[in-house]
Amino acid sequence: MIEDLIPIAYRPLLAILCPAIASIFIVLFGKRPNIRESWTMLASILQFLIIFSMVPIIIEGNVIKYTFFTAFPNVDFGFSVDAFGLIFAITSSFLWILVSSYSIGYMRSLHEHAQTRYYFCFAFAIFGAVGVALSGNLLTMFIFYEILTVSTYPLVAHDQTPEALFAGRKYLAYLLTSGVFFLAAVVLTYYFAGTTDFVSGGIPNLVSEASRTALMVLFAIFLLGFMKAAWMPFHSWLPTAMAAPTPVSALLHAVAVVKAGVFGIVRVVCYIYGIDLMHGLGLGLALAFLATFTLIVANLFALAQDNLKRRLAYSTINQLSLIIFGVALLSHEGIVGAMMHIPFHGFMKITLFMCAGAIMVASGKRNISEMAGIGKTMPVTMIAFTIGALGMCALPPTAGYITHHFFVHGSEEAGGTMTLFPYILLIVAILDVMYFFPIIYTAFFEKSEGSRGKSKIKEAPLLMLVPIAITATVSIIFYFYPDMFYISELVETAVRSLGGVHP
Amino acid sequence: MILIDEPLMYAFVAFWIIWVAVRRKEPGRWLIRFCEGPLMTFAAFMDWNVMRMAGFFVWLSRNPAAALRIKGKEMMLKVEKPSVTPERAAEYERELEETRRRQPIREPMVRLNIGTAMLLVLLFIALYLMAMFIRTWLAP
Repeated sequence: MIEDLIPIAYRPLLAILCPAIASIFIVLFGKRPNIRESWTMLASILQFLIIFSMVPIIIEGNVIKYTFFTAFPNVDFGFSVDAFGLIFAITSSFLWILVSSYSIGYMRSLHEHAQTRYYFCFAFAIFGAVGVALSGNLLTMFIFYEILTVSTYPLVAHDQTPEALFAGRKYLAYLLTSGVFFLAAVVLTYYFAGTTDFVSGGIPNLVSEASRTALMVLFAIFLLGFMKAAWMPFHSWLPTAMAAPTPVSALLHAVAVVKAGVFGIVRVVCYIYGIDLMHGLGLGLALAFLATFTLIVANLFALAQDNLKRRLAYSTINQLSLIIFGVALLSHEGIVGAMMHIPFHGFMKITLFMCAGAIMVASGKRNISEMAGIGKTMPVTMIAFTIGALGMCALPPTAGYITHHFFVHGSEEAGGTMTLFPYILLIVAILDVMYFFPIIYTAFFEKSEGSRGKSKIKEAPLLMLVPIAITATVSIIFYFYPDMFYISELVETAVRSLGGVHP
Repeated sequence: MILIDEPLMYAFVAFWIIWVAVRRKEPGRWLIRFCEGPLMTFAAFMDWNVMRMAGFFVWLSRNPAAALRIKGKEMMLKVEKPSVTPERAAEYERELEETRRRQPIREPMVRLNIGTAMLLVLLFIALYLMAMFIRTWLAP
């Protein structure tokens, strides 16, 4: 139906504008919650359908372009939908539907204040995220990247407690500082190459126009520009931002913010530098070491956390580095794994965060040490949590197992020093087990202090429980059928378009 | 296909479950204690330094000309202090203090609440996009 209604060229624009238009209606109907939330749901479903309607065209190897205006010679403000961008857009837009439903249950159950502001900013954050996904060049990406930062600040500081306001300030301090580096990198790229467009396999004249040192420095500036990926030591904004309501944490960790960071890094590696140039400069190995450091240290930090959301935050830092690690391998399997892990991790991590929120709504508990026996009173939530946790530990039957396979194969395919990395991945997975399994054990096998009396705790409202069940189920379906939402086909299309990958 | 690390991974999971079943506590308490102690101190140190860097950018952006002048004098003082007489060094320090005193660190600014600030930022972005769109639309 959408195929007939909307011309192909306008679909990227409409997909991006959906949440922006919805945000206006959200403000207009601020005093009528049911209508306000209906706009959120309607926009999220419509956006997903529009984005999904572009899949058949992209799988055939086409790219949909829409140019708004030319900002500078050779630099347009416009969108370019390719397979990799579409993967991120599908993930964000589909998860927005589920988080919207979850938010209704969460915000109403806790009688949260400023709900109109919350839904308005949420819609704007999705506007930013999908804008990042469908950007055709670095300049457009930078603008949407900053829109995403600004629109998520009120969400992080939503509670307006001193802790939340501090978290918001820290969030801005990190991400706006990072934005300065990103802008510098965009300007330098334009100076060297005369364009900022994403080109499959890298910008061809970048290597001829800039010296080796300049390219290495530029890459370091790019990395500093993508602090949203929470690589260490620029990660601490993420655990601090856990002061936000749980649906916001889900937005930060699974739907939009951190994913925009790793998405940017993959874009720079594969579509600005290109695999050959990355390999020639030795930047793949450097990036792999940086990712490995983050992988291990983030897991060690996670072990020390008793607050569930903070533990999950460190797990996110670890998983994001896994994506960076995959692309740093510069091998076919590694890049496939990295691209696939963006949606896979999104579904698994959102399950975990939504479970943490459901536990908080139903029992008011935030710390793992208080959750003894909660699996018996909230079985659906904790089974879903277990599925998400198994995924994080790369254990079957979950999506995490599939991408772990790709990373190990990718390391072997890359050869040289990279062949040592599967053992590091093993250590990382063991550390994952060490901090996820105690939560499952505490919830299902430990007795709560008041277990003799009948517990008053029960499952969270249905509006929260249904999205949890859906994301947990999808995390398992991906194990048996990774092509759900055409993810693996889109990944193959994206990697094929990159041309020759190392070795 | 079974990977090289898979049997080891399953072995660890089995070990973890058996350990907890038998001893009723998690294995690796020493590692957890290390993470809670020295490692978290290290994390706080890293965080403090990154926040200091961000704080410097904020300070610089409030009055870049004054900030750069102060930083320049600070650097000069550090470089020249070992090679000049104590009187001259004291004079440099006095000069630096004078620069700090004479030049306000903070430009006069208007404070807005979050909502208004957000609205203004978004409004400017929307206006810019509309202006560019109209320009393209009207172009021959």
